[in-house]
Amino acid sequence: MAWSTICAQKKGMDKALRILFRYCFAFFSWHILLFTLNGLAGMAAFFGQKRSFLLLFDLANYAHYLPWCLVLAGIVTVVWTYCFRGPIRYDVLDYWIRLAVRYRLAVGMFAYGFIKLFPIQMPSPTLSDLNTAYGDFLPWKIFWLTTAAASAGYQSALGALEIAAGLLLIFRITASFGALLALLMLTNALGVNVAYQIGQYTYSLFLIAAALFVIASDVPRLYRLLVLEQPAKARQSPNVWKCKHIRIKYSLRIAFMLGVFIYAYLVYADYRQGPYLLPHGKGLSELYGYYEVTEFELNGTSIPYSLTDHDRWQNVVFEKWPTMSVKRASPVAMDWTKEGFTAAADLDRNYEAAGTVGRHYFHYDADTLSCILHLQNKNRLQRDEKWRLHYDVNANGELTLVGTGAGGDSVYMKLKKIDRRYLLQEGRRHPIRLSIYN
Amino acid sequence: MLTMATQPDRVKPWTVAERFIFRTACLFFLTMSVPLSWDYYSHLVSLDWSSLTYRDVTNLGRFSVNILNIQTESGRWGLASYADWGIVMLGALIGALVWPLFDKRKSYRELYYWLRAVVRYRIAIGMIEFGFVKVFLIQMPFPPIATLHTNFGDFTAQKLYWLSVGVIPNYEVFLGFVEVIAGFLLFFRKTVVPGAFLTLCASANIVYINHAYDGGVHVYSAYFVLLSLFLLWRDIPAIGKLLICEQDVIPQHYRPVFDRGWQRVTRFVIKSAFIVVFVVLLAVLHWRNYNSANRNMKLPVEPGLDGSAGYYQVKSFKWNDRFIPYSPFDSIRWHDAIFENYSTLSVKANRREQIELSNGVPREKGRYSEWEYSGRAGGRQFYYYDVDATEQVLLLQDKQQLSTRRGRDRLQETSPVLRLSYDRPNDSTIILSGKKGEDWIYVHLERMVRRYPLVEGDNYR
Repeated sequence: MAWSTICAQKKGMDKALRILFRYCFAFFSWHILLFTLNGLAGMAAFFGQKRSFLLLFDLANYAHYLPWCLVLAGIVTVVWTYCFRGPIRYDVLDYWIRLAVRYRLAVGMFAYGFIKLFPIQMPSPTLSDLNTAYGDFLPWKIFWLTTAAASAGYQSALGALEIAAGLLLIFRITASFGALLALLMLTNALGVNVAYQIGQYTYSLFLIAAALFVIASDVPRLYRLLVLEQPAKARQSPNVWKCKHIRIKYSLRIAFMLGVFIYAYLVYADYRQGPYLLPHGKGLSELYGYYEVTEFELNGTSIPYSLTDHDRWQNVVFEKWPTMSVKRASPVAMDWTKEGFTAAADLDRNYEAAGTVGRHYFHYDADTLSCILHLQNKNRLQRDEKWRLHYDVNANGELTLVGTGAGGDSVYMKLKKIDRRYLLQEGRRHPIRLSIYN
Repeated sequence: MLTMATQPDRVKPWTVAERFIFRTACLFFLTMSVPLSWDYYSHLVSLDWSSLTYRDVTNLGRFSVNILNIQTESGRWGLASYADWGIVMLGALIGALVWPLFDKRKSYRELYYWLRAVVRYRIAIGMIEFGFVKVFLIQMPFPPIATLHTNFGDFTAQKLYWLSVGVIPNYEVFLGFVEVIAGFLLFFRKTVVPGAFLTLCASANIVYINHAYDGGVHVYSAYFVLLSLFLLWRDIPAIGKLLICEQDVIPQHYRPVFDRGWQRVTRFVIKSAFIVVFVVLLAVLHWRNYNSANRNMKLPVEPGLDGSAGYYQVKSFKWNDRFIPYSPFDSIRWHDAIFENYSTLSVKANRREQIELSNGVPREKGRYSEWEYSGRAGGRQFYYYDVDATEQVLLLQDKQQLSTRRGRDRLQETSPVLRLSYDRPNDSTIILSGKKGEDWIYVHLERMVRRYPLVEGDNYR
């Protein structure tokens, strides 16, 4: 068995390693027990209500109790070391716990892999993002947007690698390759999480620990073979599966893969509908675009162009979904949400407005019969800001908005639609001349 | 205990196919790993060892086969840019056919060892050199103020990626160290596999990123992927046998025995020379450059107008006798102005301009550094300036103009100088006035207090 070959040379090492093994065994057992219970409870809900991949995603990454597992594992280790005297088949324990950790890690890799393969984890920058100053984003949002701005299927390729790691982890003989691949991806993910203040440190650390545990028993033999260039002994797995049980083993594996397929399908379905992070409703297609506010009147008083006036709107973006964003000088309260975005009602889908103070985001309901927009600020701290604006597009493509603003003020504005050309989309392959707008 | 069996007495002859493949690989990888351009050696010979800069050593580690320069889109950004490899491969195949006429050896295990040694050292110096450029924050500078005020969509993809790394200096240092460590491990025979594996992972990611963001150095990074794969190739069967087939493995690799004194001395001298130059010396040169007042980086270092750094709104703008109010469409009136920490003033106006599309390289003189405005649009003029404190005058030069003039090999030529006298009635106000061409301009600037979530991160709260 693996652990004994590592420590065959020195007796003292053997004892330390055994205690370490007991601790790891207890820690991962606790985690997997709680993880499974939580999963089963969640499954009941999954079959009860609407079937969204998000529910499965949350179950697959549920890890709130990790500190408790660390403590409980410590207690178990102490009791085990001092109170149990008797022969223990460490090779069998090692086999089972490694099996469980392999599958646990695979679940994590699949969960994140598929939302990258079908790129919904990081949606493409929105038109509002393209028109937001670089310094007005939080680091995490810049990382998200930059990764999403990659072409050549970069996000999908990362996802494919994570899925490949998951697949390799399912089979004993390829598990170490899967764990190594997972380890590389996860180490970079942890680095990114820390560097860009994304969060999820404990969870990435836990997955790294799981990958290290899976790979640990192969490290000594690889070290002997590749570094010392000395003969290396192969793994000897205990015979835990009797012939009549083989069928159970394969059925369980097939059931697991079936679960993965269902998850993959649900992610794909969400991808087809449009990413869950962005609002799902349809915006007014004739309004989609970027506008400069050329005239602005507040309570009958005209306010000229200004970069400093708090009331004056500078420019406006209408998205393809019912969101309108406004650039104006009044401060935006930062939405600090970084994770745990849910597929709520469109007003509450705050991903587009989170992590940036560049623009004011409004959700709108359009009354297309009487041409009226009911705007509501999406920011949780500015929700009571509501506008009621009558819209009118004339033959020149000019948009006129007239109505009442937040404090009951009457507003009148003229907006000029501009088909801006963005260097990000034009690329760097050919010489190009651009002004601010095109 | 199993015994060492790395040096069997009898040499097993290689098959005909093995020998042919080896001869091809040998010629191919040798051509790829050794500098073949005349310039390289003339640079090496003419090095002034008494006043070295980090660029001198960096250039020694940065070379690759360069035969064709295909001027099509695919030749610069796509598949055709790898054409040089195909040419070298063709040459190697022809060479491998001719080789047996002169050499009838049945086994190339000694030569294989030495070929691997050459490739190892080639990767090592390349990775270390490239890693240090990140460790010392040269490759991706922290965004200047003007960048923070440019919209996300107004950058090229390449610029966005480089900025996103430059924003987090610690992350850039981390990425750099990964490359340095990967390269360093390749100096030692025992750590070749981890070193080559780390090189493979880091470089493969860089290749993909360069294709995904049009970074432009995909061929050079793919070159390291290729070389590291070659190093890993030998051990793949053994790893497969050990882990996939779960069988015991006894490695049998040739390695030369240095039992003569001169052999040991030669080995020691060559190995130490590489490590001393590309690790110790290069690190020292980088460290000195990083800490020197006139360091050679991508952003200028010349000090700007004292205490002026910041974002300024244009309170009023006078063009000859006329005050012009602000309009986002105006091409003459400044929309805003930014003084950097160094001697750059940039002003926004709606003028159509040629976009600088290069990656930007370190320049010794700040007036020639293009990194601030390369890969960005959004209408902004960048001026380098000298301060004449006695006359209270700024001598400005349009950097984009300087750069295009320099491109025409007229390095010494200066672009027209714009003389603006400045007045600073208080800490946050700067009034500039002077003649711009035939016209008289007067600009009243007032600094705005700006905070940037990107710079402050979680401290922005």
